[in-house]
Amino acid sequence: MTTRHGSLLITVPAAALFAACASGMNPAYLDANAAYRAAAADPKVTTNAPVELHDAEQALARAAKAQDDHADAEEITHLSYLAKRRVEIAEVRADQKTQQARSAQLADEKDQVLFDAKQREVRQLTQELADLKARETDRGIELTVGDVLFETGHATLQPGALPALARLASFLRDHPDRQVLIEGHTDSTGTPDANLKLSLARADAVAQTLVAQGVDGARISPRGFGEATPVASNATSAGRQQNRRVEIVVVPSPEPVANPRVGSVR
Amino acid sequence: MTKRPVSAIAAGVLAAGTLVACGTPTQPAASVSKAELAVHQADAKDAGEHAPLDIQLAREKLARAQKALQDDDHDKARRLADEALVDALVADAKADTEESRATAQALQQSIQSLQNETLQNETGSSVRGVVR
Repeated sequence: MTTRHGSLLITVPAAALFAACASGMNPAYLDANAAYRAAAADPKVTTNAPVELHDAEQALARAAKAQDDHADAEEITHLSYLAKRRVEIAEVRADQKTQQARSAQLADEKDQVLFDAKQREVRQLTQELADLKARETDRGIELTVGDVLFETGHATLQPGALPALARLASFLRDHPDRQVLIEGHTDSTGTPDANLKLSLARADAVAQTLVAQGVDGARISPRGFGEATPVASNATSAGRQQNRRVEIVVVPSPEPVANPRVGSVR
Repeated sequence: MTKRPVSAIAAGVLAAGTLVACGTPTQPAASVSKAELAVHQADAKDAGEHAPLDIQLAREKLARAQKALQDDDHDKARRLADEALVDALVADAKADTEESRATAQALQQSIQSLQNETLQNETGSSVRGVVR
């Protein structure tokens, strides 16, 4: 047993020496060396996987050392294999980094697309709600249900108000995180008490129309201000008509993407 | 003391024709443990799906290394374990890379569908816009 083992140990290095002298270099080593040179010349690898490439370099150096030391062919082949696999690891990790960088870029792009879409939709909504004088303000999207959309002196909405309110309701259903303020106002004709009641009744009528269109009533806060906050003079009939109104404010949701334009009244 | 690997020294010593009974200065048992851990980690990352050949190679070599260790064939155990280790690391890296690629692709697709949606909304102006 011992003698057999011993003679084997002598013959293997002898064969390795002979092979190394005859062909110069171990083919597995040449292969690993070529793979390493290619990776080391690839900017993608040198940039994205410098540590792994360094590991490969060291593994290759061990194989080279074994060759210089005339180690047996099996050992050189083994060390060369390790080196070649280390090169492969560097290449694959470099590829991974590239994919990660791409993902980061795509995530930014997606945020931008989402933000743009939201912007576009708000713009589209304000266009579609032109009947309600939709405008973006620092309070959010503001709409006005004018006096002509109510029956004179009553809180009943005219049929003409319904399409725009239906459109608003669908927007609110799509954006369940948005709250809605509904504020009724009147002119100064009549008693303040009656005006307060009418303004609240009209705000309620608008709120109920939205609820009937499937908007959760808990999101809607109707309030009556009576004649307290005119937007025009009560001395003229045109001014009084402007003062008789219901204002709807769609409060922006707390958004993760900051809108640089919020705050500017347009 | 130079930093060159002990295995290389051993190989060099052998090549020089010096007889060293059972030259196993590295610890093959430690090599086998490291390989076991690496194979386990690669398996945990679904390497079987993304790098079936590499993980298969790693498993086979690990099994042979464990066998060689039992048989006290330390050189063989060390070599097989070291090879199983790098094979498992390749499988591990490939699994990570495939996952990163899938993430990027999913993002690309969601951007594409968002853009298509926008396009549809603009073409059919009466169609309600949907923002998620």
